[in-house]
Amino acid sequence: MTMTDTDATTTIEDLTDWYDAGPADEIDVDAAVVLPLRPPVAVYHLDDGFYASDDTCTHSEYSLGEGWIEDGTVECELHAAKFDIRTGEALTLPATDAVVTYPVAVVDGNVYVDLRGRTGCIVDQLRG
Amino acid sequence: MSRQVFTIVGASLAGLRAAEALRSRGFDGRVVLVGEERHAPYERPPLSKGVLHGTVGLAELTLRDAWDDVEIEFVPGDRVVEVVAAERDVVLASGRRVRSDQVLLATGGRPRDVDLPGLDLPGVFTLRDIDEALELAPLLAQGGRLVVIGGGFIGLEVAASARMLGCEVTVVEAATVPLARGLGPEWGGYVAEQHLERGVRIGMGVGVRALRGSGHLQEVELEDGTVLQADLAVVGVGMTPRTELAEGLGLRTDGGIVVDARARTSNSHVFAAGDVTVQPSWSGDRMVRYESFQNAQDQAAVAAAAMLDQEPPRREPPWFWSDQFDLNIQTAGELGGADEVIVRGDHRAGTSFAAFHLQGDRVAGVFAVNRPKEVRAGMKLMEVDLPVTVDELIDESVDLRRLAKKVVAHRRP
Ligand SMILES: Cc1cc2nc3c(=O)[nH]c(=O)nc-3n(C[C@H](O)[C@H](O)[C@H](O)COP(=O)(O)OP(=O)(O)OC[C@H]3O[C@@H](n4cnc5c(N)ncnc54)[C@H](O)[C@@H]3O)c2cc1C
Ligand code: FES
Repeated sequence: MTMTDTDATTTIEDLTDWYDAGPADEIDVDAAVVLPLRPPVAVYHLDDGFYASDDTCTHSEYSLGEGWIEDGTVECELHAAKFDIRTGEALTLPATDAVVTYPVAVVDGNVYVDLRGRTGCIVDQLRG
Repeated sequence: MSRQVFTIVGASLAGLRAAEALRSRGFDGRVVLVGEERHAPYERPPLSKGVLHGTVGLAELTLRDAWDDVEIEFVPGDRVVEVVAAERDVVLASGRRVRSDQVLLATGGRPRDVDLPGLDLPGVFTLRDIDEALELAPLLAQGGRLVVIGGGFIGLEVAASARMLGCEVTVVEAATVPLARGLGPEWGGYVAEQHLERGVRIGMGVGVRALRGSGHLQEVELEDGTVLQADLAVVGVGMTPRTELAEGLGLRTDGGIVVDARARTSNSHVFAAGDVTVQPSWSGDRMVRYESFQNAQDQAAVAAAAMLDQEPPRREPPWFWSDQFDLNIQTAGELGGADEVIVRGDHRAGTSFAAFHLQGDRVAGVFAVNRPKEVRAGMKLMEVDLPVTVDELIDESVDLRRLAKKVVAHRRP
């Protein structure tokens, strides 16, 4: 869930194909928002920046964006599997598979997520 | 000097987690993980849920199947028959002996025996291992008549799964309220009512006299003379910890292998973790056997630290979940001995609420249905041990997670 360097040279044009996840200041630190895609994506705000991953827990089906975020980890609330938000790694059982992460950029106070490599179905969203 | 050998008996959740933790904590000796089952370690909770529904199988439940990268010597399908105290020789049924510097007993438990005529009839099951679950699943899918003997968590989960598959289900429970030991009468009664509403029949306060049938189970006779027609029965009357190796070693046992908060037994080279142990409770005022996924996973990490003489990781308040029908039931902390119970949401009108059990002005325990967030927040409030007000707990507009987090942030050095 690397955060892409958003130095002064990154411009909106570079991000045209990225998904617009809305204003950065609408996500508190140690909180997340869930993007209404299919399947959904979670965008997390940690003290060192923004990160994104698939929202659905790799154990069963539950929203990680709804989870408990602390010390760079998110804990699924259904059966308490913990993931490293920055890398996606599954840190505790019952999850065994990492959650897929996506690059994030913040430009002019807005958060963008690079979902171009995503295999999930985002066609609906692209249409809308 | 030859490499040290740490041997772990029991390759399920606690055993696997301890083996992994030994490695992640830097142990560079040999780790030998012996398991009686022929499968790689797998997750048991879905055995009474997803496996019965037919939605998950062994492949999905396997917790680890690659061993080389972590350098764990996994020995499946072999049983430890003895641990010889003097040399700490771990003796396997196959005849193999593993001389060990330290031993971890993670042997879990087996379904508690009952003394009933007809238990060996085809159609009568217990549920602990995946083989049993995989055998039972297709039979339940036929939608026959099931009698569940014992209204504990596993029994009620089986009842719910079977009902959802279209079976006619009767639960027979000798106590007057199911789950009373774990949840207390009120929440046990609540769960029972949910079952009744969803078409499960529950016979409470009555024991079973016999299982009968010719060639296959046909009926279950209760102590009051009632006869229930049955195609299948699942006996779920609790678990017996597998303490026999510990007893052979002369370790202290008392309803489980007695360990301290660091998972150490009365022998300085032998440790124990998971369902097989009794340990100091979260509040520290008694010894308890936690039979939960969380405990097995976390106590295993504590045991690994102790085996390496390292500082143990911090423990969280005890936590347990159960999925029945559309209900995600969670409980954390200690429900008993509450001065006051504050319910957020309405437990009389629906299936979404969290009940906070207060001792003085502290949250001591939470019981919740379809409210995992509140349980998590409640656990944080327990951990930081700071006062809460009834208004905050009841008011749905107060984000308890924020409340707990503020407190956590506040407490950080
Ligand atoms: C059907 C079912 C549903 C459950 N649902 C939930 C739930 O919803 N939520 C929850 O929190 N918990 C649940 N649990 C409990 C949870 O699965 C257990 O707490 C957990 O599995 C305990 O792990 P363990 O490693 O201590 O013991 P176990 O999982 O019992 O494993 C012990 C292992 O040791 C092996 N073994 C024993 N003796 C020997 C020997 N001498 N030599 C070699 N191997 C040996 C056994 O074969 C077994 O594989 C459920 C359990 C069951 C059975
Ligand atoms: S669904 Fe996330 S831990 Fe089970």
